[in-house]
Amino acid sequence: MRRRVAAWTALFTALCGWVGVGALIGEAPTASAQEDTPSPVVIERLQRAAYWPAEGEENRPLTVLAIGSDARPGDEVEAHLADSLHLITINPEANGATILGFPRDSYVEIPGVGTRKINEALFSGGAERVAETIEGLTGIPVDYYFLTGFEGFKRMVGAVGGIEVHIPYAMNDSASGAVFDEGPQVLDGSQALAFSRNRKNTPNGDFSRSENQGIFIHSALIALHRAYIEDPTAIFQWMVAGVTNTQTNLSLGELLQLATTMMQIDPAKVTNLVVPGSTGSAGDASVVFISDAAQDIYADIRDDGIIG
Amino acid sequence: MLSILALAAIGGGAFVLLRGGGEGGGGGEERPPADLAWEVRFTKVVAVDEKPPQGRVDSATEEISALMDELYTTAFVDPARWGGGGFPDLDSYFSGPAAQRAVEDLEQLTLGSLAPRVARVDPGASRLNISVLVDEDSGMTAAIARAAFRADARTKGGEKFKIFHRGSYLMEQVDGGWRITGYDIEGEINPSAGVGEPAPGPSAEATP
Repeated sequence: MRRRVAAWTALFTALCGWVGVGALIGEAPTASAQEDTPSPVVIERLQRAAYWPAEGEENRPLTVLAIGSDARPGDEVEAHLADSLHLITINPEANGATILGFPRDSYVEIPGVGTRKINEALFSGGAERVAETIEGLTGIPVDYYFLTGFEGFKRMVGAVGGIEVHIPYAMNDSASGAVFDEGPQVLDGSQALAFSRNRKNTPNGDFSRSENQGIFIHSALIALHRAYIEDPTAIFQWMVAGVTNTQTNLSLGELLQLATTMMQIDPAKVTNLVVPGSTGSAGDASVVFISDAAQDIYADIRDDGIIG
Repeated sequence: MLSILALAAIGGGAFVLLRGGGEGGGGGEERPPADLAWEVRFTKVVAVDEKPPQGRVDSATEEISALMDELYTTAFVDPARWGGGGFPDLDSYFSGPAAQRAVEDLEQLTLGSLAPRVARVDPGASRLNISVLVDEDSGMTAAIARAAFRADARTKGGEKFKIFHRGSYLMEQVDGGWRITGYDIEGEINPSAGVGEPAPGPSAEATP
């Protein structure tokens, strides 16, 4: 796994929101104006965050792998299956990002294990193995990862006061507990988990679930932006909620850089998608075969992190 | 007697004009720069684990306040530090790539190109809110200082104007001291606002 600690450390500067490119807009003095009378000047908002891409790598994406384990309270999160997998590629220069979801039953090569369902990568080798699997599958290096289980996810959502999500369609699923009307609503930790777990009462099963998980990640980004605008120090509270409820290879300083970088991303420039594929069987197991079209997506985001 | 008073008045006026002081004076400003005193409204501690002793929080608050003093004194208050608009010392308050970026952002971070025409800046009620991030070892690794700076100012030609500048400055500990590593700023310079009342502008009272 590639880590860019040096680059991050060397850079703690530009970001997130910290990237608004502001300009000093002044009304040019007129001939009739007194020479010494300053024209009204509005210093438009200017954001500079902590991340500073290396020269020549301005479009190189930062990549974060979000891993959701199906570990229940009290379980070791790495000793279970990764039922939620999203590769988030971030381009601070373009203010955009992509959330790419992988159905948990995707039938892929797991390094050192063989061809298996992708969710087994966590059980077989922890978060590092999951990252290696994604790297091998996509050809996209993974910089950082976050791993959490059911309880950590709920606590994390609760610690930031819930997340407003636009529920894409009505849900009524007893298995996950997802009972929602269509439309926007603020989800607490338990509701967020139910929304993210529901796959039975969706249009397209596990593909829809992965898409909904991406919707949740996107919604969290929007919520972080709102919280930051109201109070910039909210970013500290979100960070603490993250580090105390996840396992990650980020230091606190790196997390601060990442958080401020995310403030630089325009939520309207975030694409949420799921790798295309079809369901089938491998032996007795029901699996997802990722289609060849996924290669086009990997190639598209490999260089700059954004679709298109 | 009247002639003596007239001469004294003329002499006094000439003295004022020659030293360049007084309202509406046309020359440079020789009075010492005004003091900038932040009203530190509160310090919030966000901790991964346990909060550090209050003494360490107070110490960090003082250090961060001092840095903000230096930053705004250099950027707005003390003409001797403006370097004719080049603000040569400004980057010393920043760290790493932020220092380079600050040099490129002088127009937003300081009086900018207006500086050579300004005679004096008198800070008004300026407020500072500080939040510190405490790591799992009770170390204060990062801070955000939110500054709302207000001032009444005067050009060398005697024109009065107001300055409002608001910033959230992200700081880290670098070589034992706090340095700015990111910022989020905005402001307004308004000659029509008059003097005495706060200039209209973005709300300075962010929710704690």
